[in-house]
Amino acid sequence: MNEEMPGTGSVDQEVNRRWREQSSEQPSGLLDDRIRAAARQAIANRDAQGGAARRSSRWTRFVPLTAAASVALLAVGLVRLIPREEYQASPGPDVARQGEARVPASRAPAEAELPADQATEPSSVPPLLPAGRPDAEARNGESMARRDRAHLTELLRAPALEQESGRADEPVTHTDTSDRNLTPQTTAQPSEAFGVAPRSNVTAPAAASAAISEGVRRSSTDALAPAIPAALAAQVRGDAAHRTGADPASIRIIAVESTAWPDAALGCDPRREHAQEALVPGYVVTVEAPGTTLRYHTDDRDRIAVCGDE
Amino acid sequence: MPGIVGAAPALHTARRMQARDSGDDETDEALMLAWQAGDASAFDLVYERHRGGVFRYLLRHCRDRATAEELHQDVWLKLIAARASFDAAARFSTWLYAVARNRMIDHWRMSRGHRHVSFDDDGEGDAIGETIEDSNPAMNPQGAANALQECALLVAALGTLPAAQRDAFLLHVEGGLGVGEIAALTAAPAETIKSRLRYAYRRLRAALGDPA
Repeated sequence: MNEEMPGTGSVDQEVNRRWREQSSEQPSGLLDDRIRAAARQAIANRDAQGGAARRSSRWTRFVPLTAAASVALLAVGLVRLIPREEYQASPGPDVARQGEARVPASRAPAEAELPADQATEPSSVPPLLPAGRPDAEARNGESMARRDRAHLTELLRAPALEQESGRADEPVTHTDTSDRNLTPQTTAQPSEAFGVAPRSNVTAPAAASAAISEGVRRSSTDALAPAIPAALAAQVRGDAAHRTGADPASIRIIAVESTAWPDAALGCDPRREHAQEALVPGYVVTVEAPGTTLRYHTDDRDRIAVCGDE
Repeated sequence: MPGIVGAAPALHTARRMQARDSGDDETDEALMLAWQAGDASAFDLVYERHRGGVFRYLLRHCRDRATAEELHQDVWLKLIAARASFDAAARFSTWLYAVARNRMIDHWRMSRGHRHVSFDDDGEGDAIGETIEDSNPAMNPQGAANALQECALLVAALGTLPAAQRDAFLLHVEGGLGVGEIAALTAAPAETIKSRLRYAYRRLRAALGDPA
């Protein structure tokens, strides 16, 4: 089939030529201008949008960095703010003490075997305490070191004082002041030189705990028991004697555990267990009287209580 | 007639201005890419090449200059808005006349003066012919005779063609499209397009006094 393509033959070419001669209408110049202007405007708009996008992208590059910086600032602010509030709310000596006091005694031996850097970390430190802050740690460590240093100093010079003056605010003293090589159960760095690990209730050295008071008898926990103020010990003994009708001389403190009570009732009011109260540092003092054993909840000064169910 | 271009890079403006002076050195597709890239003058060149053809394509179909200008503007504005979708692998004129043809169809659909218009009707004295007679008294036989006397002979003869034949002829002559391109654009077989073109040329030759 060699049929000629339409429009390509000589006759059709003549038709095309005649067509182009007669069909020469054009759109108006006004319309042309309008369309060209629309095309230029489209390009201008695109450029403007592109510029805006570029400017936007220039700034959006820093958005993640800005967000990260904001989060970091917020975190630092919270960390710095919240512990301060707790310090103010708590009548206790310092936060480190609170943190240390909340470690259950039953966990002490296991924690005592932890490496030094872990053993010094209180396991129940309030959630927002700056656990990861080296500066806060250092401050807490220094604070505890000062406390323990003073405490140990008092401990070492107390026998004579206790016997001579019976001062109520002196801690229970060590009977052997020559025993200065007090090996701590844990190796807390700040107080290592003093032989006392500052941040755990398992930190009282064995030799020191032996001298908690003249009436304290070693028990399985005695080696780990911290000292309590002599006045507090006397108060406990007196109360125990009053409750049991026994001779005060027959009352013996057989165990002391440091703790932090969740409320001002020294843990004796279960209704207040979940109240948002400041922690109260104190002790659980177990007292043996003839025929009975009493368990006292105390603060670290002069408040004592025997809970109803104990 | 612009050739098919492969990968058309954005061209330097100076070279384009030189091409403007020297003639059709650059393809429509290259100019479109340059315009997409932000060269506003590239569009002016493309528009200059195709403004007459598109306008006449619309004018021969709608037969009203004001309407044709309105449609012409719509076509180009639509093309401007859709510039990002232009694919340089396709021929620009095919794309342009597809837009124009679709706009024409939309116009007919919306026009109340036309009872029935279809580019697919190949019948002699088809719907478009009837429509023309209804909407334009000058296109009835008597009017056509007057037009033949007063106006261009071929233009008047084209108005008597079925819409599909007229469409194929206009796409071929005004748009510069080949049979294959018209077939692709109209979604009709190439043989059908050839047939339409043959009928159209035969009618126009007859109008010119050539019975062959």
